[in-house]
Amino acid sequence: MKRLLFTVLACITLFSCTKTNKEWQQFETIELGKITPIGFAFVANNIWIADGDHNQLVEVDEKGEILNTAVGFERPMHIDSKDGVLYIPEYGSDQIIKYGNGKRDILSLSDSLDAPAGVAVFNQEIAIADFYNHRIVYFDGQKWFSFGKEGKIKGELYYPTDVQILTDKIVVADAYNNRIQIFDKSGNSLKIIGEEEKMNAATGLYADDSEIWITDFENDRVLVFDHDGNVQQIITQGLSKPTEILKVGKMVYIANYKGKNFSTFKQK
Amino acid sequence: MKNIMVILIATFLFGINNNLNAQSESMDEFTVQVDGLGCPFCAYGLEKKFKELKGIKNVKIEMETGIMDFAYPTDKSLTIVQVEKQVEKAGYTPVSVSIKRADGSVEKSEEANNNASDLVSGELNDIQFFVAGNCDMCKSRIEKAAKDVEGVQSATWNKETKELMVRAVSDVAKSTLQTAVAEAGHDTKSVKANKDTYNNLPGCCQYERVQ
Repeated sequence: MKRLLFTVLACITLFSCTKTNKEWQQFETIELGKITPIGFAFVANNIWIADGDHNQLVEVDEKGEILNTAVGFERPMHIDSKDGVLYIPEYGSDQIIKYGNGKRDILSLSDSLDAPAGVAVFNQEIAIADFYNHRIVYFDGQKWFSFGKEGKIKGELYYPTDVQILTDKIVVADAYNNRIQIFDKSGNSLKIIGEEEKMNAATGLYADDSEIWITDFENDRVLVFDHDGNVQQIITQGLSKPTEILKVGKMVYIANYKGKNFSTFKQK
Repeated sequence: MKNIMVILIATFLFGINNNLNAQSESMDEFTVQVDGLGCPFCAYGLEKKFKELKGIKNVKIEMETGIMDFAYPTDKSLTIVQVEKQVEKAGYTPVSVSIKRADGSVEKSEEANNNASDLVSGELNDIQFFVAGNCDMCKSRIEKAAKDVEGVQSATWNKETKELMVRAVSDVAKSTLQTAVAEAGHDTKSVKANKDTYNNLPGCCQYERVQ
């Protein structure tokens, strides 16, 4: 009896310690017609898509039905949203446009940009991936400053294309260094992730407190890392020149620039 | 007297206005077919860099077709060769250029390029070697560098295997092709690209150097 009890306890312990590593699996592909998606943002249960090739923003529902189109943006790239307002980096005009309720305002900056490719908004903070200046321009809630310079070593960037702000760090798609780089909020480099994965243009990212997702544009892949840099999953199914990742609830959306569609993924 | 003054001023202003209109209308229209526009960041960059040229107007790239249109002041007499060099300087590969001058005349580069490969004759050999590169822009640049060598009929670079396959007349040496490709910025196992040329490649084309 004692032995039986011991066995049962051992089994319970074993099962409770087994890592429940649920994989993300493709759910469906939503075709977008002629739209070439580069950036995503989620506003009021719908997705806004930055269509860089056609200088427009398009609002679609989860089935890809077009609800709204806003034209006249100069090469909009990795957009973000806060409180129903879209923040749009215009690669062609070197400006960040705030767009909400049909109204457009230019975000006031203390420095000039050269091809902003991505913007992130978090509470009062704003971060901009300043592509040709190889840096991140950051507003910490009180002042603007920038960090990063052209180069390949830790702390340096080479054509950053996307950025995201978390509670205690800033995650950067260090695109043509083919890696992710994590900075603290003073601009000090904390960690480099993904260098050994042979990515070819790490262009779009999504990060939360548990995972960092990155698009490997030329290789038609998306890689999922934990914050220590361990690969959790490599996704290839249904991807065609992926440029952006958006996680909403239990669903992940991946924009396929060449495929002119987005793929949805669920954890199984 | 007052009426005469008014007429004189009106005539003067009308003259200035006409002159300004004549100047603004005197633009040449350019259409450039660019190869390898696979990456939006680089393609939009080409458009952006062209917009910075003084006097340029209406710059527009159509990504699906790789066609870039722009207008440039006639008095600058911008030539096909200068346009091609500007596109190459930005890291891209021009396939063809056509200019519609303000006087209605048309200049094209396509025919000369097409004829070059048509003229290749004689015994043909296949030459294959490794060329470092990353993307569709690299592919265009590598293939053009090889095709520009006299005696080359065709050149195809495989992005996955990094192998360049060239069909050329028998007196075209492999080393000549390797040098041509390296001069365009791409390492081969035998001939390496100059550091400055490599550094001038667009970000997405900066492959891992061959050791």
